[in-house]
Amino acid sequence: MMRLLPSLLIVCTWPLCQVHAQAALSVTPAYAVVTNEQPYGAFVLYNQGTEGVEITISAHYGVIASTDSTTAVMLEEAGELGDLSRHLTFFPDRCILPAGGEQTVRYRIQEAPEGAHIALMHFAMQERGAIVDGQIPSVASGLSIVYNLVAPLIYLQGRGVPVLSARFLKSTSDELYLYLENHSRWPFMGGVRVIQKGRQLGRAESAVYTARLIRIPVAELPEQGPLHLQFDGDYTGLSRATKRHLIIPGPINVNWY
Amino acid sequence: MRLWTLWAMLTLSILRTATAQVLMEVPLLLELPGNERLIRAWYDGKEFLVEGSELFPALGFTVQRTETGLEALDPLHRYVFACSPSPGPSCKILMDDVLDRLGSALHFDQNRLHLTASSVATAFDVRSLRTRQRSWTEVPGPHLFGRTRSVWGGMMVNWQLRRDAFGIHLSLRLTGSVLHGSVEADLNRGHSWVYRYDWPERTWLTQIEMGRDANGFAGVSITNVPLARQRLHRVQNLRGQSDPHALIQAVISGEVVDQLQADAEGHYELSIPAWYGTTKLEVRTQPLGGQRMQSDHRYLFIPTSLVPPGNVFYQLRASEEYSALDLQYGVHQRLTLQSALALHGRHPEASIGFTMNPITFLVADTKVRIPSAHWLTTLQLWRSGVQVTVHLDGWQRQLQNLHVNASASKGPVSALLRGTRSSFLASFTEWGQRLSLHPEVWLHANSGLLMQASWDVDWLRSAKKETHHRWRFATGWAFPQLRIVGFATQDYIQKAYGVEGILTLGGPSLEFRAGWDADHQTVIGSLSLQISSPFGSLFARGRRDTHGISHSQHIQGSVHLWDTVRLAPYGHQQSATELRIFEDINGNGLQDPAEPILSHIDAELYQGGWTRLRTGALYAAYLEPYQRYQVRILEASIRDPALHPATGLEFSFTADPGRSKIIHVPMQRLIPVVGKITGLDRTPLRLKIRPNQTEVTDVYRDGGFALHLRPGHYTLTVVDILDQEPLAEKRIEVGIDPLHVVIDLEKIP
Repeated sequence: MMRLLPSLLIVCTWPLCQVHAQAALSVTPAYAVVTNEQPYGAFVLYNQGTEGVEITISAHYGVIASTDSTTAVMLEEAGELGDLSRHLTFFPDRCILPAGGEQTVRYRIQEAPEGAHIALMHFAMQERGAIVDGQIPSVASGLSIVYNLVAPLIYLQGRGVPVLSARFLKSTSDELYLYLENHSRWPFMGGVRVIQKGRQLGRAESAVYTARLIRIPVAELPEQGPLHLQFDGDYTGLSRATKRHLIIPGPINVNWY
Repeated sequence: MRLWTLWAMLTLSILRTATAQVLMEVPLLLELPGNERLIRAWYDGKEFLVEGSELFPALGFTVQRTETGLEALDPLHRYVFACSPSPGPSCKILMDDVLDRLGSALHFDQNRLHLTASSVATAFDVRSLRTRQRSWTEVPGPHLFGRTRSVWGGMMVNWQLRRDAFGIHLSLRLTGSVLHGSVEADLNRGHSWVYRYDWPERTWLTQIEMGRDANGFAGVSITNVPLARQRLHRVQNLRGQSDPHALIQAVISGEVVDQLQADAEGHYELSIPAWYGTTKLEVRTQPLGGQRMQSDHRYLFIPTSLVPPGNVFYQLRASEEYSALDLQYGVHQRLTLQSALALHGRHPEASIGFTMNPITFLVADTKVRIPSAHWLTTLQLWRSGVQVTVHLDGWQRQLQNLHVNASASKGPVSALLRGTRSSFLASFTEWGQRLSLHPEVWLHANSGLLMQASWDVDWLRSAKKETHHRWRFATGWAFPQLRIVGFATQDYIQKAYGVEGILTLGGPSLEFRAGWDADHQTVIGSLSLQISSPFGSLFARGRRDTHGISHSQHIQGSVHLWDTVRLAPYGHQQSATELRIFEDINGNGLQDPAEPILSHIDAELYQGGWTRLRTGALYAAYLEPYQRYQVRILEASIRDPALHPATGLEFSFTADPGRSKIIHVPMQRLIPVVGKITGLDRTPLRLKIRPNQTEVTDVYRDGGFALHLRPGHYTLTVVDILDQEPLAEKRIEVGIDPLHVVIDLEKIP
């Protein structure tokens, strides 16, 4: 869910952009995990719309967290994870993208201490209108909206194991809602399997930095009693070299009622 | 009475003031296919007026002022507009009038003050607007590394030593870049040499050659034929049909050369560059509504014998024994006339002809010799995987020879047909006729089943009639390193069965054939071995057939005498390029001993490919001499965000004939210069940076700007895009720390 957030943000802002500016920005990749073996990388911005946009790029310490009630960008708060924005340099910090234009934003991480660190890359997009509002007050539209795309950038220095706890929230006929919390300075990125009496009921992939609501599709609802959560390291888009830095945590129990 | 008059005058005066036209100047953004610009417009509270002398030139029209109005002309259209009465040279035209006349070609959004020109408009020449895009240049990107000349630019000696039944032969071939030109020499039995001096950019003389041929005759040749083989011939318009309002892109060599939106019926017309030779075009169609993009590949073929319309190409050769003048004239983009005049000793000979490309997939070439009236015609036809070539020649209206080559392929299956009808002198007085057909079918994939079936039939008709047959059937399997095929064949002299194949082991490769000749009851076979080393290549071949055993060997390679002496296994004349991307630590633009090559940085070379040398440099061999190649440094591969190539990310170079060109790309650490322009009263603005005049940056809506510059002194000039008027200048000194600059437009007069 969390890794889909930037895409969701794009989807949500798209109709608004259509109305006002016909400008649409895409960021690739939607998230990035780098390690001390290759402490560099790049995001690619692409203006898919028909009008130019001004983009301001900034990095902030924070996390996109989904609690049992909301999903929100939380700045200055990322649990035990370190602040990557202090160790991050990137170029450029502002750019103008014409319609169909593409821009590579390169970054590099230097001298970060051991542990996992996070920064949220903010791509603030504003329509590049030719008119200044005050110039023609009778006809110019006074509306100028800034849209933000957020892409998490995680840096892993060394190896570590995440410490997870879970509690059951609710269920539907084909989904279980679990709330996972991370109590360590290492994120969890991988699969969560629901096991009861040795039988796997469902599996979902998730990244847990601080806390996350996860929905696990199940073929049938479990019987009342304890559930085991087992974890694996398969996470779509994560390279094998990066997976080596994340130790898979041991299984935990959740009460199902 | 006086009071009434006074009141009446006062009322009239107020009414006149209240109804007077108050014009407020507004900038109007004109969006054209491929670019956008601002033009002046006015608003009187009810209607918009636009500056005609700015709008119509921007739409590709030539503008002429008349007494009361303005005339806009292009090759197909003529529009006359009335100017609104106003003082000064300006011609204000009612926007409604413009929209009425140009119809749906323009869309005016008066809330956003945008005037958008349709990319499929017919009311003005959209193509002439699109030609302003940079992608229409033959090779995009600044041309930073042109043809380089030197007194001693290096020499390459290709050598070959061959041993066969006739003895041992040594041949040497020299290729070099010397005396500001290039030289080639063959040191064999009849040695020859030629020296070339070129002017690739000139129109009437591009190359002069002088030298001595293998027969010992000295001569000279001049020509104006363009030296780069791959060049633009014409702009081809390509019509198509897609979903309504779909976005259409034409892509050649990874570069978008045209982009437009289909009209409401889905029609579109792309303008694409057609190059000499084969142009591979990808048409991408993106329907509205987020559907998946579709891609379609098309191929255009322009024969090199077609000359651009209005151009004359000549080649004049003169030697002790032979002189000739060849002329080509481009009458039309699809028709070229040719003539040639030659003098062999005292015997003159001439020929005239033409090359025609009446439809995209057909080329006809015809030539008639004078006075012999011997004629030769070549027809080439290709369409959807089918290629047909027909050669005809005859004398005095009589057909003498007809050769047809046709091939068709789809996936791994290909079919070929070769046919010949020819006349031959059967006796002193009688001509004979020969008709031969050779159909062949192949099943040929990279790996898997292989199959070949062919049949030859010859009919000879002279004093007596003869018929000959020949056939071959082969089938086998292709593995990644081995191809092995069993065959059965019958020809005029033997019937044979056996196996043949190729074994490739990294560098060395072995070609073998073993079989049984059923007619002569003997074993036949052959073995070929090819081994390459860094210093040379060995080819050895042995053969046993009904005549006995024969064998031959040859070794070849080359010696490069550039800045160092280097041995190589290949033996071709070559133009090559070495790209050294290095970290320019001291910023002097030169590679010093302590400045390493950054081997992790990748670059793309269009129309070519790189190999990575042990030094970390990129190397491209077998380039076309004089051809411009485009390089794009892949920004994502630069690990340090502070490093920037001093050449820019894209540039092009010219491949030098007969030598390796070394291109240095300094990666320099740039200093961020951020700032703000305050006291804005109009936008958009642009910032010009001197001393590098070509470097400009746009100012953001909030007046901010961001630059990355090398340390040094610069002048920043704030320019209004609307009228290019410089508004302010500020001198800055960039050191080693980031700089913050504020330019206040209110304080600068």
